Amino acid sequence: MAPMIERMQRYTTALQLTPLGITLLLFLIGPIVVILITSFWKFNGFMTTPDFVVKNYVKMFSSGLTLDNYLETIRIAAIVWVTTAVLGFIIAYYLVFDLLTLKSKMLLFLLCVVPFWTSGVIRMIAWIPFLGKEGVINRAFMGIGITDEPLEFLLFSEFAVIMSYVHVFTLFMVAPLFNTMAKIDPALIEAARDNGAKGWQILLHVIIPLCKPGIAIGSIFVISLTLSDFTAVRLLSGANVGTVALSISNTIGSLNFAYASANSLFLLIVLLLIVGGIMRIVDVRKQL
Amino acid sequence: MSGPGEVIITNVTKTFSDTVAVENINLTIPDGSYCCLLGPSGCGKTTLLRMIAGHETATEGDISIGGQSVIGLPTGQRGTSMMFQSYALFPHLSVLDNVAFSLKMKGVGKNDRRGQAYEVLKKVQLDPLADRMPAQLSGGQQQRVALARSLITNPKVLLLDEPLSALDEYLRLQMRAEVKKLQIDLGITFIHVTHTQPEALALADLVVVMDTGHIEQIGSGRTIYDEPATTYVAEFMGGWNVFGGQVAGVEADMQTVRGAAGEEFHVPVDGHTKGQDLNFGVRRDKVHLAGTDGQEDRGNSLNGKVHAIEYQGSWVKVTIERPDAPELVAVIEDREYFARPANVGDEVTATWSAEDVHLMEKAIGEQNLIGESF
Repeated sequence: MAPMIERMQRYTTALQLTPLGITLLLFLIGPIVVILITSFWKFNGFMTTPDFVVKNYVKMFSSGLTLDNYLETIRIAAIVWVTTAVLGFIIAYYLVFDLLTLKSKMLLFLLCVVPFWTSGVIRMIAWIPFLGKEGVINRAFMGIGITDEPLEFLLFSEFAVIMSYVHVFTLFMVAPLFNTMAKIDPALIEAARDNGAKGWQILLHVIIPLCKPGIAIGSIFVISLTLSDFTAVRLLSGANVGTVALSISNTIGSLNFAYASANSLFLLIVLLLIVGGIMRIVDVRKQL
Repeated sequence: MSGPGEVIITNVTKTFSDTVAVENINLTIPDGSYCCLLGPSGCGKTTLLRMIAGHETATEGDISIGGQSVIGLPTGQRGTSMMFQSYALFPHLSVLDNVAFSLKMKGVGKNDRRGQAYEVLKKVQLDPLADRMPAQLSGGQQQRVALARSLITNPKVLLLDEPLSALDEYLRLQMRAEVKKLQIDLGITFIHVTHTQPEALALADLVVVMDTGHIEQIGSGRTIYDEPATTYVAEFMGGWNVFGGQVAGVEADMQTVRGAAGEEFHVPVDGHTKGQDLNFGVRRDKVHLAGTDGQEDRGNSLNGKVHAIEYQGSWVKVTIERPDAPELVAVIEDREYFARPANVGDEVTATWSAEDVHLMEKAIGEQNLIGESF
C-alpha cells in the first residue's frame, strides 16, 4: 500500500499544475506560436499564404514608418505612464493615509471600480461629447469667456488619446499602489517623524521607496495596456496619431496577416524588454 | 534643580472622541532617572508616552521637558527619541542607513553621517552587521539597531515603548541588564512603558503604576512592592494576599477587623474607629503554615484546604482554598516547608503576625487583576 501512495504523491504536483499548464498552453503559448509561424508567411496583395520568407521582417526594419510609429507610441506611453503614476500615487495616498475609517476607504475604492462596469471603448467614446467643438468643455470655456473660439486641440488629437488613456488606466496604477501603501507600518512614519523628518522627507525617503513594488506593477499594467491599445487612437486621434498597435490593426484590415504578425512579435519583444527592465530595477516579488 | 532631561506632566488629559485614555495626570520624572510606566494594556501608559514624544497631542494640560513646555513643538524638536515596540526599522535601508536616518534628514553629508552611525553601532556591538538589511537580523539585533537609531540624535529623554516584549525570555533578561547599564552610562532620562512587573522593579528608579487612565502609585520599586498604596497595586504587582473588612474593636497597639466571611484579623492601628471599612494585605512570603516552625499562632490565622502545591526551588507556593472567601497563597521557604510538608486536600492553618499586615486604600479603578507571583 505504501509504495502506491508514494507513487501517487510523485504525480500530485504535476497533477495540480495541469489546469494552469493547459490554460497557458491553449491561450498564451499557442497563439504566440501561431503568430510566429504566420510572420514567415507570404502576402501577395490579396491574401496570405503559407510559406517561409523573411520578407516581412526585412520590410518592417527597413521602413521609416516603423520607427516613427514606435517613437510616437513610446512617447504617448511615457506621458500616460508618468501622468497615471502621479495621479495614482496621489489617489492611493489619499485612500490609505488620509481616510481614517476602513469603511470610507473601501467605499471610495469601490467607487473607483464602478467605471469598469462599462466597456473601455464606451468610456473612450464618452470623451467625444466632452471634448468636441460643440462639446461641454468648449461651450463652458466660451460661456465663461476663457476663449472666443472653440479649442481645436481637445478632440481628434494626441491630447484626446492621452486623456482617455489616463482616464481608463489610472485605476491600474491605483490598485497596486493602494495595496503596497496599505502594507506600510504606520510606526515607520512615526519613527521617521521621531527622527526629525519633515512631511516631504517622509514622503521622499520612506513612503516612495516602500511603494516601489506597487509603482512597478502599476507601470507594467499601464505601459502594456497603452502599447497594445488601438481603439482610442482610432476613435479619438482623428488620424493625427500613428501608433504601432493601430498600424498592426490596419494591416490586419488589409488582410496582410503575415506583416501584422511580424510587427506584433516585435511589439511583444519591446514590451517584454520594458517589463524586464522594470523588474530588474524593482523587486516586484516583495509585493506578491 | 531641574536638569535638561526632567519631564514634568501637569494635569494632562487625553480623550479619543468619547473615551478618556488618560485623565488628569500629574507626574514629575527627575533628570537622569529611569522611570517605568507600569500597567495592564489599555491603562493609558502608551498614550502618555506618545504624548511626551509628540505623537499624540494632549487634550488638556502641560508637558515640559528640561523646564520648557513642549506643547505645540513637533516630535523631532523635543529632545526626545522614541524606540518603538515593533522597532519600526526602515525595511528598505541597511542597518547603517537606518541609524544614520536622522542625520540624513538634517542634511549631514553621506560619509560624515555614516561615520557617526558606525560609532553608535559600535556602542551596541552591531558594527559587524552594518551593511545588513533589517530583515536579515534576529529580534535582539533589530532591537539594538532601533536603540542605536534612537541614541544617535543625542536625546535628553529616551522613550521606550515595551522594548523587551517581543524578545524571548533569555534575550529579554539579557537586554534588560544591557538597557539598564546603558542608561547609567548615558545618564539621560529613560521612560519605559511595560506591563511586566519584574521588568519595572529591576530597572526603574521610579515606578508609576497606572490603571484605566490614572496613576495608582508613584514610588521606587521597593516602595511599590513592599508598601502598595492601594489594593489594586498590591494585586497587580502580585505577591500579596489582599483582604477587606470592618473594624470590630480598637486596642492600644492593635485593632480587630472582621472580614466578609466572618474571619477575624489583627492589624496595626492607624487612627481608625469602630465600624470603619478597612483594606489591608499581607505579603505571601510572610504567611506560614501553623506548626511548620514551632510558632503556632502569630496573631492572625485562617483555616483552609490545600488546593495546590508548586515547588519553585528555593521556595514553595501553597494555594489554600477557603469556603466562600478568596483563596490565600503562602510562599514558604523550602527548608521550612519540607520540615513539615503538606498534601493537596489537607486542612491547614495559615498564620502571620500583625506587624506584617500592611494597610492600603481601596483601588480607585474598577479593574480587578490578580498579579503573577514571582
